[in-house]
Amino acid sequence: MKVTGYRVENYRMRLNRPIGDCNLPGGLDLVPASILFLDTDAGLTGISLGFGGAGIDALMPLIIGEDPREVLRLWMRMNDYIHKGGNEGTANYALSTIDIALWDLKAKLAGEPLWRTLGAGDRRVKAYASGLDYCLSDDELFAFYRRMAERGIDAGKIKVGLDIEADMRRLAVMRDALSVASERPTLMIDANEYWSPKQAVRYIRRMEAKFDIAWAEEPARRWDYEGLRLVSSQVRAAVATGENLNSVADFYPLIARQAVDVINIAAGHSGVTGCRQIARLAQAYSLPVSMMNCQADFMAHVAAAMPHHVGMEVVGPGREHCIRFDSHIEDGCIVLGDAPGFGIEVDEAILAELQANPPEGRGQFPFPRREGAGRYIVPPAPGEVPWPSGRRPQQ
Amino acid sequence: MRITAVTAKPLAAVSIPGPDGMARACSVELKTDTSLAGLSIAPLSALPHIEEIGRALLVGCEPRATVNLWQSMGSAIANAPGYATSAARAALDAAVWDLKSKANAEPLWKTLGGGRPRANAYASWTGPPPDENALGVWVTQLASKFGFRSARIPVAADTNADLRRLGLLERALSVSGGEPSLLLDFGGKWRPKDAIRRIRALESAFDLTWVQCPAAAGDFLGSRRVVDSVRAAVCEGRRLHAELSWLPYLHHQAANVIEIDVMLHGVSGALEIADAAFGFELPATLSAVPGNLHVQLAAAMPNLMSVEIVEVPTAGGMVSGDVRIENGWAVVGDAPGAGLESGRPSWVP
Repeated sequence: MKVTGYRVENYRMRLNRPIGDCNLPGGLDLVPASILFLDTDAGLTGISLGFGGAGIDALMPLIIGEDPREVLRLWMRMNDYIHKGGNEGTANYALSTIDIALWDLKAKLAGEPLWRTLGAGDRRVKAYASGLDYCLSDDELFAFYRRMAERGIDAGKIKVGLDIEADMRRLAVMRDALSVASERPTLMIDANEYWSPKQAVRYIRRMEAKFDIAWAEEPARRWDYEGLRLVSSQVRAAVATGENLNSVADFYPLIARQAVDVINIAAGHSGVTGCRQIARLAQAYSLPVSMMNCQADFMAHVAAAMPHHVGMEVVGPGREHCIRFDSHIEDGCIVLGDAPGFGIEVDEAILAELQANPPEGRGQFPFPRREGAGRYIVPPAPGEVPWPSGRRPQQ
Repeated sequence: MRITAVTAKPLAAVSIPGPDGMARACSVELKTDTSLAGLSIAPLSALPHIEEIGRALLVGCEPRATVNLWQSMGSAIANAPGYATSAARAALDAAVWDLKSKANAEPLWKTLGGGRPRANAYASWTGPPPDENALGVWVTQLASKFGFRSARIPVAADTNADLRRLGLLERALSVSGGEPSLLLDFGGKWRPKDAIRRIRALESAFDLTWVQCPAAAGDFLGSRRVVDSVRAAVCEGRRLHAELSWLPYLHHQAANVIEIDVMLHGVSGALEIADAAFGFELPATLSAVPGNLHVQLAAAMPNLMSVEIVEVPTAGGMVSGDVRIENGWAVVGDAPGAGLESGRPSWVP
């Protein structure tokens, strides 16, 4: 079996609701997307979902004519090829996207879902709700987490960072909404690298006076193993981080220096292959891993085969316009089906329509970094978010 | 697919490296509700555990669920740690992987996602320290006929004997061209300072690639002292059978090469250790195991340095399992599964 060709389809889609974090509190609802199709001489097509970007063309000559079942060899080949510039940025995106399509093919060729290929024994993956919700009103916030709680999800992660009083109020809204799933919902916060380490300590300690927070995500810069370790040593909450790293090489200093308590892993961590490398290093250190959100929750297949996985982020903003998938959420878990590979199918007619008539909306994807980050806090300006704000900047 | 029975039988004519020299072996077979069976070879001391764990945890299970089976066996032996239980878990895991790849009708290396393994091989003298004539015959044959460029011998009782043997090794391995790679095994029986004095004395005459187990198993502080005191890399891992016993060597930079033994860690554990070592930018080397199963894993490891070969190949370069030696490289064929039914049946020559 050989890869014979490929096709990349780029498109734009409008989400069912806006998403935002403290770097873009007003949010956006227009996001780019891209699908890689890998064709083979066996009549099977590998599919990989992503957020657009170039670089695929540069790596595909390494893949065409090769057997996708040898995905680890091909991963090493790509990784060696991009050695000089490094496994970063566009190169990392392309490597990750291609690796995912190769694993999809490997599982399809075995005629089984990827969770089975990867050795998982259980098709269920525990989920937690994540609103990407800085742009939601309190009512919308409540509605989102209640909808998730009604599907059995008893843990939630809220965006914070710009306004301690509003964040405390919103944390209580999330807790109340989740309370139908659990008497004691698991609460998490995410500051998306906006704080300095000491700002994080002060902010989180104030929140911890009222709330039991399971983890604080990205309380300092992604690579700052000293700063992250400082935060972890001074707050009760676990420090979760990693979503913006690229590979196990990036995680090495964080893990070896014990700067992280929960490892966030993602499709962009050099694909399925890279995620497994990171998870295995984390497992040696008895560190839990948590899979980041993605379209159609497809990375749940990979999470299912990680024995120390604690919960996958589920956002559900409505981004499966042209995608059909074989999973659903039930009793607080993503339940994977038996369709081969990732179980993803693309509706080409809807895709063509999205490309022919791109939707309009609010868009600045990916989220930029907000003014003041790491130095002083700039709260939302009046009208920037649909909740009371406009406090003065804080040091 | 379901596993329907687990059996283990003593192998009369086969001996394998054990914790205290050569030991007897047993074969493991997993029967299924299909015509496929999973095979592996284990130390005989693991036999009762293989039957007990296999019947309790594998019978009735889907063999493709490698992660879950590996985890549940790990939980089961957590309260009875030791060489025999680790080896039992490892042998059952290897048989499960044999089944998983046979179910795909492909060699194990392909199921693991690797390309065809072509691994840097080194020849390893097992058993008692060699006399110089026997050593010369052995290494000359391996280098001239099969292209070995690297060999490992046990450390001698005195420095002069080491100097003579290493000289013999270096000359013989040079016939294959290029710089020979000399590996010296201290067997975990030395005090670190004694090992440092010996290694420094030898390094005045030879460039050693690695010294193996220069401190007691588990003594990562002693191993770290050797790392800091000699030019050669320190290779550790051989006798570390307990779960995560290798982690302090990574965390404290107490080894420069991680040796992984599939007979103690199975296929699943070996891949876990290799990826963790990869995160630490450490090269991995695979210990020889019965049927050369370890070579199947070579191409699935991004940080693989070498594989150990203890057999003298036949004239065509074949060793046991579906493995042959080509000009100093260990290459695997296309037989489905782990290849234990292929090639030469015996383990030790």
